Amino acid sequence: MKRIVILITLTLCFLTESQGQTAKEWLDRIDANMAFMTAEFTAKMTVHHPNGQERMFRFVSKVREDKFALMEFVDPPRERGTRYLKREGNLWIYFPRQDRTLQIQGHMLREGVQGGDFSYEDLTESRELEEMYNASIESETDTTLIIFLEAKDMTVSYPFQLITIDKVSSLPVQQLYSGIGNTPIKEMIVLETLNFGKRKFPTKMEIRSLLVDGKWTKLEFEAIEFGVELPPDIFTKESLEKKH
Amino acid sequence: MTLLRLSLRNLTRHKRRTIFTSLTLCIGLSMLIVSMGFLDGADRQSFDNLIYYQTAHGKAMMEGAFEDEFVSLDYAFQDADKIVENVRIQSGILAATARLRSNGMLISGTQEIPVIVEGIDLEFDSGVFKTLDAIVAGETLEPGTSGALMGEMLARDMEMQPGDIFTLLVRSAPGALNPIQLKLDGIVATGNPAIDRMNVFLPLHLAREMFILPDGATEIAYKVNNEKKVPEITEQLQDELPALNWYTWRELSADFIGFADLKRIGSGIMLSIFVIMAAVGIGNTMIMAIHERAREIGTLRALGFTPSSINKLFLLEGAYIGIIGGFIAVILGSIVVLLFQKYGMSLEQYGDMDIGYPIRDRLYAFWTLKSVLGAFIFGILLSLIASYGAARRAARGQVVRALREGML
Amino acid sequence: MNSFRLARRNVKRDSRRTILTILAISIAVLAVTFMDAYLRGIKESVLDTVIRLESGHIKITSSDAKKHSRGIPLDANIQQVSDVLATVEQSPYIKIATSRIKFPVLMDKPGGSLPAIGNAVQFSKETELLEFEKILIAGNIPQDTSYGVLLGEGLAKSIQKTVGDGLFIVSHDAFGGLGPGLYTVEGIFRSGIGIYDKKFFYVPLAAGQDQLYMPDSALEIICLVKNGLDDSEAANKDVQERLQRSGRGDLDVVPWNQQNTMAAMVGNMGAIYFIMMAILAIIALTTVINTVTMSVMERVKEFGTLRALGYTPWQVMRIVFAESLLLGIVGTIAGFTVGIILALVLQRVGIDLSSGLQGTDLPMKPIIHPHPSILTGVKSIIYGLVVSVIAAVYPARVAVRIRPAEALRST
Repeated sequence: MKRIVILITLTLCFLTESQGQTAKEWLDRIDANMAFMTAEFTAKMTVHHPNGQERMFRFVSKVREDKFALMEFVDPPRERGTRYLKREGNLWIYFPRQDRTLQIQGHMLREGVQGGDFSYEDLTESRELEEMYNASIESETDTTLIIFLEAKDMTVSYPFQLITIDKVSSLPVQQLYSGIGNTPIKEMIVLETLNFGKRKFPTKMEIRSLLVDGKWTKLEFEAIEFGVELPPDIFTKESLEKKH
Repeated sequence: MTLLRLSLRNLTRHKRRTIFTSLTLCIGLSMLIVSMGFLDGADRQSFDNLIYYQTAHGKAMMEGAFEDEFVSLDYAFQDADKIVENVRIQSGILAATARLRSNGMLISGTQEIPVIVEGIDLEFDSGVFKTLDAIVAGETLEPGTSGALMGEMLARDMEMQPGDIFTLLVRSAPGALNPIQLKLDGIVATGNPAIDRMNVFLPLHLAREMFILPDGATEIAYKVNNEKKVPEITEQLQDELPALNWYTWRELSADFIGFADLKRIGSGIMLSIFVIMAAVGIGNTMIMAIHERAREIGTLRALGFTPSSINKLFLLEGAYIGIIGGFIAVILGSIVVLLFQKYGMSLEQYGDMDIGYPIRDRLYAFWTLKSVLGAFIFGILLSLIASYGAARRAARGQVVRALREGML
Repeated sequence: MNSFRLARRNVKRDSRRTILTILAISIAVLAVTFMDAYLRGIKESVLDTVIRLESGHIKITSSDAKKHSRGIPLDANIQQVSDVLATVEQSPYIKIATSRIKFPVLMDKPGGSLPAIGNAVQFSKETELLEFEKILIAGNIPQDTSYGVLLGEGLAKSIQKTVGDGLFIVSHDAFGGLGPGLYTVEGIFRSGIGIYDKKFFYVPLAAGQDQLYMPDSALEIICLVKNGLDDSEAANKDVQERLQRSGRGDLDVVPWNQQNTMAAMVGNMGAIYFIMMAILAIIALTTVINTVTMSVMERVKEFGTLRALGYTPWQVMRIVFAESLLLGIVGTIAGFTVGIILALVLQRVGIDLSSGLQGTDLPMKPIIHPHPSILTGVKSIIYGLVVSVIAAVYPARVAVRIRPAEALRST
């Protein structure tokens, strides 16, 4: 199963048809039907803190499959030009005002991106879902399908996931990330979907911590373009540190 | 008549003076004993605290763990129970236990705070550590339950009471996140701010499950039957089990011990002033005694006493004064020390401040034979030295002048 | 006959005993004088250091700050700090008011990382507080508008940076995001306080606010009061009222002696001083009592004669008191002189306690400069005289009890 990296962390499964019987078949079909390899997004991220503080960010993200991503903040002014490069499991952050690059590693990987609900580690994960998880159908109704992902080993951050798929739109509407013991840690809820040409795509979603009260991150896509041409050298440190 | 008896008689003859001189010395020495008692107490309490809650008599860790400022599972090892078994059968070992330490996030309501998570073996831990005896509120940990203990200051920061439910989010050794709901069973006050501010304790089996480290540990702690043999036994363990690095508690708390020694020197300066005062007092009285007894000394010389025996006579008097003063000081000082050993002195006004000792609330004095005996012998030596000048003067005096004018 | 003249004669008669008694008193007075200056030195050092470095005479924080035993988190900050500063500076009591932010960072060092403590301060306002001019050992003090950093000597060594080097520091900002800051090492300081030299670094407030995403905010405002310690309470009240009036009742205003444990520490030192005075007094007393009693007993005949000549017990007593007081005066002057000289010399030289203070986080300068004051002199002199008078009570009673006839009979 291929995934498209959206915020570079959030992984969404795109399902085009809904007549499969087993989860494996579902996932295989998704792989086969993957319509595009590249995309470019503009998105707004709102990080809400338990103490009531809120922060808004806007960024442009270019992705190729799920292994490469380059994202650049355009808002707020403080963050403008800050770029994240994800490349084969590594993550670098470029700070334009300081003209310095920091590789996120060690203890830092466990911290939240911009204090939000995605950890840097979530960003760097680049293994295939199928490689990491066994999928099975948890339950199925006329309109929804719930796929249960169980990690093959405990080397993944979230050993259990529950993905609820809307059969009509073939889109995930909810994703529950759980830790060991299948204890929920956070959930993603799709709040809004829009049509892009003939494709339907989630444009507003929220990630909420299920452990800390009042901690959530909202993501809204303002523009999405699929199948864009990306220069071959875009996911390199040179382009990360390139000055405008 | 022997010199001993003569000098004794002199002392009893001048009872008042003897008492006064002894008293001066006595007060100085009592002070010395009490101060030593407090220093010994502070040391013992700190060392005890370190041994009871932090270092045990010694610990084994992975290479590099001790030097690293961060607590993490990078230094966890397997087969801990087998190693513990192996340690337990070594000669001189009284008890051994495994602990598993890592970091985690304590979550309650909207609060999120980094903590040290420490799994303790409920069966064996009490043989080595006193953590489980330091519970000040709530109950102890029960095997098989999802209970935890928390440092007192941590609980205060999080505004939590025994019985409250909280979440601990940890990273297991393989990498998967593990949020686990725990009930706060009890609150631990070890008196060691580092522990009371940072630590969450839970049963070892639970910690192992949580970190997915069956039979894992980050340290093996042990207690020996003879504290003096810690270095020897630790060395023997290092030879026996070279896969881990073995440290004595002194090595584990080297920074602190250096500091304690220096504190002792610092208070020594203050005490020496008292002691000088006492010495001046003794010297003073002795010289006066000689002075006053010039005729008597002259007579003794005339009777055939050699200068050296006169010298000895007065030195003996000094020694007696030292013995009397020292004896009373030992009794007085010991009483004070023992009282403070029993009831302690409040340190509450220091609050949460780090005063360089892992001690809070109360400071207890500690009576040691070494300190008391040391002070006693010191007192005798001091009065001997103080009376030396006087004795020499007495021995050297002119017989005729002494007899005629009553002056030396 | 005048009792003082008689006393003087007696004192002169036995010079050796006199010298010894004087010595006892003078050593006690010396010790008291020196101790007073020494403890005052420590007290001032601690107070001065803590006030300058941490507590100020008054400290203003957000009211959320006090809940945290591990230090103030960046989100418990004072908003619109420049308005607050302006309000505070209007108070006639306030001499200096300056904002600070303390933040933890992980510094890269060869082969790993090192926890360090950043401090964002307004360098131009810290002249009388952090006193960078005095502790700088290399380079310069950064400009308030620059991205310069001052490193503690030990920290600079650990991370292998020296003046002129660039230093990229990434910390968390007030919102939990990453706060990058690129600095130039402008200077290196040695304060003599262990933790400061090993872990602290200072950056300009504006740069720190930028890095930590705390525009126009700070964690604390440190104020110095014009008349120092004495006016702190009044100043505190005034500042509190001013802030209330300007609608900033959300802030805590705390004087130095109510912040964590300073007051306790200083209060405790008073107790230590008192105990030491008492012990020294007891030792000195026993020695002086001893000597004076001895001299009385030695002169049983003389006192008997005086009584036989019609001296009243009161007059005899006065002779003894006068004698003791005379010794006391001389001893006190001698002891005080030596004590004060010792204290003054050590005030210049200083007493080095640095090795003993290394393990602690006590904000205390390791070199103690005893500081004698006029009060030291007054205290020691009164002390010496009181001790010598008290010491005469017992011998005077002995002298009074001598019966004329008995005294004359004895040889």
